Amino acid sequence: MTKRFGAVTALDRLSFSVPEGGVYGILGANGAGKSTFFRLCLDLVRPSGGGLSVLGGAPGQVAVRRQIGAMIETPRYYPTLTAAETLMMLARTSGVRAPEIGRWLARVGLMDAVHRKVRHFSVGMKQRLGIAAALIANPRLLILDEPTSGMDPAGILEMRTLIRELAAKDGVTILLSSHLLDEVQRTCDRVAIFARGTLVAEGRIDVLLAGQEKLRLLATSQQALQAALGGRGVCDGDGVLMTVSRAETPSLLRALVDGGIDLIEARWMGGGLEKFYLEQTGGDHAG
Amino acid sequence: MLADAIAAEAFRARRSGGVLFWGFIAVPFAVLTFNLMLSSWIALHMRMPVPLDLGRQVVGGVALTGSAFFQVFYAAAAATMFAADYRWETWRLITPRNSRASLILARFAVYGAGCAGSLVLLGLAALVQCAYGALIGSAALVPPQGPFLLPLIGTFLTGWCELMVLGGIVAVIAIAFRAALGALMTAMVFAVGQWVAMAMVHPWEAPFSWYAALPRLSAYVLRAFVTGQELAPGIAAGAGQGQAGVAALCLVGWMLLLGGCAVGLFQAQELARE
Repeated sequence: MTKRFGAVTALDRLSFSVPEGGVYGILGANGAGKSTFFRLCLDLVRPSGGGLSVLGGAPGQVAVRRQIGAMIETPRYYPTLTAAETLMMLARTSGVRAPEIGRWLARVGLMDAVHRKVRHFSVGMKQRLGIAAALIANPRLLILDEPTSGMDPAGILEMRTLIRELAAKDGVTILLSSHLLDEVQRTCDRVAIFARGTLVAEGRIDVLLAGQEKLRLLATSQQALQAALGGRGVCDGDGVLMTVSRAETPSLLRALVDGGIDLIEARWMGGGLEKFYLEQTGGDHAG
Repeated sequence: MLADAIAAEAFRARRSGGVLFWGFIAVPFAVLTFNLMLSSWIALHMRMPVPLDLGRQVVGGVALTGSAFFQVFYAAAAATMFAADYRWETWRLITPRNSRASLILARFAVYGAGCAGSLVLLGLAALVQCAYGALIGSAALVPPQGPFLLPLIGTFLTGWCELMVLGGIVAVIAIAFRAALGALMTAMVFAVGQWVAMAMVHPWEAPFSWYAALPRLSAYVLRAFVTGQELAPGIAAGAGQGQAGVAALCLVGWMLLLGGCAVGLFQAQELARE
């Protein structure tokens, strides 16, 4: 799929698929094409070349779009409406007869502001309301563009928990974008990385990062630890640095403890999504 | 789907007090206030009560929407309704939830309902003025002279269609240029332009092409026809030339054309920004 705005190519021959279920991250610098991609999924804009299928149908079909909840860029609202009225209006537009307004407002932590006009909301509160608005019609696919932007650390934690719950318990497929790469790494199962409108990497995070991260272990005895690892680790100060996949880590730690090693600390060093992202995008910060 | 969109738009409109008042209530309210003051003045300064035909008063009240000045208020309401989602950048919030055609048609439906309500209020304002005049002795009510119901319905429908045409012009401009002010200014220029053009032509002589070009002329002829008024001394509206039928067709045609244009424009519009 390609999308051009005049002479500007926002997305250039993009081709990938998002599996149903789980949390999928779309990463990229400002202007890399993330929001354009989301707008294409919602039929707000149309491809200049190629096409896309969402939930098995074209985004232009209302039946398809009604299964999608979305919060695109900074959410905007009608200033004369309260939080509850905003959700009621959106639910009616979606054809939801009996929306669970209280449930969703409670889930995003806005019960205290139910009857407050949205124009008095802080940026973080608007983000929360945006997520409730995206969820009000019980979507199968949830698109969240920078969902934690403007939120305080406690809010970010709440949102991460909510997103993981929605994916795990409610079976909602979640597509999200964020510049908080650490958050993405904690929240998402897979990612796609855009740079200047092209796809530069895509896949499961643990696969993409395999070999990139190192586990640093610290024990009461460095020698005993190295011996237990059988030469897999190298000394790093008073600790031991080793390459291991995240999937292997629990069994490795259990084996070390069972082997009588007194572990003090186990920590991921270097690598990580941030390093991988910067390598893939070449530090692009304005695509 | 259209019903959902209308329900949502009506819900939002009910909570937009400013738009409701200035768009649809201000005109009847101003007319009522002025007429009550006029009745009071007449009661104070005239010795004999003025005879008032209740039927004609109500029909005349409903016909006031033909005034270019009053139409500015309705155009402002339409501009607010059709351009609000560009101003507040809320299309991205609602467009994925329903079909684009339904969203625009819902705005037309709610605007149309507001106009109908305003026309009813204008009729009620005329009734209140008559009752007040009779109470304070400035008016002597007389029973309707001639048919009353059909002229009233005809005037109501003509006024409603004229306001819908106005709303259609505003909608097309608001969608095309994504701006309320531009739409309002265009509607005002259109209203004044028609007023000037009508001053240059005798309605009873105007060729049918003028009816198509000037919805205001169509409304004028139609209103005169349904109320049995003469376009000029001795020349009844619609007499022998089918003017009224052509006028009605032109008015409805304008309404459908502008509605279709507004829907078509929005269907094709890219919402990369609102």
